[in-house]
Amino acid sequence: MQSPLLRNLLRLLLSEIRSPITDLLSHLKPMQARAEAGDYAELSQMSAFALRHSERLLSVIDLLLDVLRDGVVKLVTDRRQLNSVVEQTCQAMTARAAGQHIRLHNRVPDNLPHSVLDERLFTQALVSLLEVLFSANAAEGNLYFTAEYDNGSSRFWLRLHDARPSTNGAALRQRFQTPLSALLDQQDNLQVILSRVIMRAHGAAVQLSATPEGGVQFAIPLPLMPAEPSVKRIPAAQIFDDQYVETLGDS
Amino acid sequence: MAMSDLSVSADAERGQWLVLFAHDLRKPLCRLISGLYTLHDMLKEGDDALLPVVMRIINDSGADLLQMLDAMPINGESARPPVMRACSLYALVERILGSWQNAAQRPNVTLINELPEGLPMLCADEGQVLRLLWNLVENAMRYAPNSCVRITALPELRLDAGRALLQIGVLDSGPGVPLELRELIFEYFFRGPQTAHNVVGYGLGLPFCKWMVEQHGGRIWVDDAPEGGAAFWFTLPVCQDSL
Repeated sequence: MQSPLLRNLLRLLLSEIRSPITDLLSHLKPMQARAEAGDYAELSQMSAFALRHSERLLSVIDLLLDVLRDGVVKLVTDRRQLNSVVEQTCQAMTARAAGQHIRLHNRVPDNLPHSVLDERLFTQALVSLLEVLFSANAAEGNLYFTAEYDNGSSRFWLRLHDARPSTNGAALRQRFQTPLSALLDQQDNLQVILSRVIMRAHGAAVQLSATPEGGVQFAIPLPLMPAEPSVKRIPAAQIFDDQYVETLGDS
Repeated sequence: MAMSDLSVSADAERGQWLVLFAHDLRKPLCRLISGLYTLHDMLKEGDDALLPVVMRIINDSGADLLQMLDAMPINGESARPPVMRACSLYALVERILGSWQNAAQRPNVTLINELPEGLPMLCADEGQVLRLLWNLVENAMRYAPNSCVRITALPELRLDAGRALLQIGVLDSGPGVPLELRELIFEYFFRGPQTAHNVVGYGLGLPFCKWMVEQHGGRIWVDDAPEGGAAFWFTLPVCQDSL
């Protein structure tokens, strides 16, 4: 493996993967209890959760292996409602949020046009953004997902609004503007990198701004991709390019 | 960043073990996902006859994941060396056969333990040898479906630099490996021309086997099986006091 950037990214991933795997395994033991008790309704819900969690983990590993083998970031895209993707994200992070007394709110309308995205990776990107916010600020409070579709630019504007005033927006903004290669020295940057890489692959960008109330807001302008489900292969050099500039201004 | 910076070469330098470990995590993860899908289908159809089996697969896959994490050298530039202890090849093969028999969805492959009696104890990292054997067995399943896979060993030890090595084989009755590919299949991301489009995989399973064997000071190679098919042979050190 020649690229120090990819080698470090892989090292980051392997050093950080214990947490999501441990989290996943923590769901397997209660599943066994539900199976023995014959509580199949609950078992079904728990297994669906574990399945989504496992598939997201696998998709992140595969993302890196695809880059290493083929030099591409591969997206398996399909038509999806942003509302349901955000709902999956919220469900994935419910327990983690509850541990910090944070409440997640999905206010994405369910009647937006379908977006075309890689559901597992895109959900992972949103999970990563939440992880970044949870790590940056331990305070309790509310986080809101909202979205709208802008006909003029043919883009969705997906927003994650952190209403907790003590989030250090300046420090966060710096992490989202620093070249990827410069983020690899610190382990806690993995989620930042993952979210940026996945959003870039979707033709989007993660923008951060302060809110009037003193909180922060991520804004993600997601282009409306062709509606045909497909496998997209985006040159990795383009995605990992340190000169990549997230140029779109906020709406 | 130039595109060449992102490329992988067969003999690239340090850090290659990272990609092998990442790839290796896929196996229990895929088994877990497969088990969860089976569970989902069973619950949907109201059929719980195989529930204990499927739950065991799910739990075993989870345990494998945890074990791999525990063994993973994650901080630092080099991989953790194998933890060499006395371990029984018989016990490891029995574990594989047990998991195999409990598998809910196994391809049409017969797996046979043909280890001769009286083999000495290995001096090896038990977890790595188990994964090595699994990799070779799964490789045979993938490339030689509808075949018979035999795990065997030669009773005579090989001597190398004063060390006694046991020669262990995983033999299948599939199409075999063409002569010109026998070195290449151990290279990173190599996919044979016949298999690149027909068989799902990254081409990292055999490089991982090679890496693990070499970590133990052994060697791995592929040959023709006596009755046709591929014979993957590797050597591992044995405990001197068990000779």
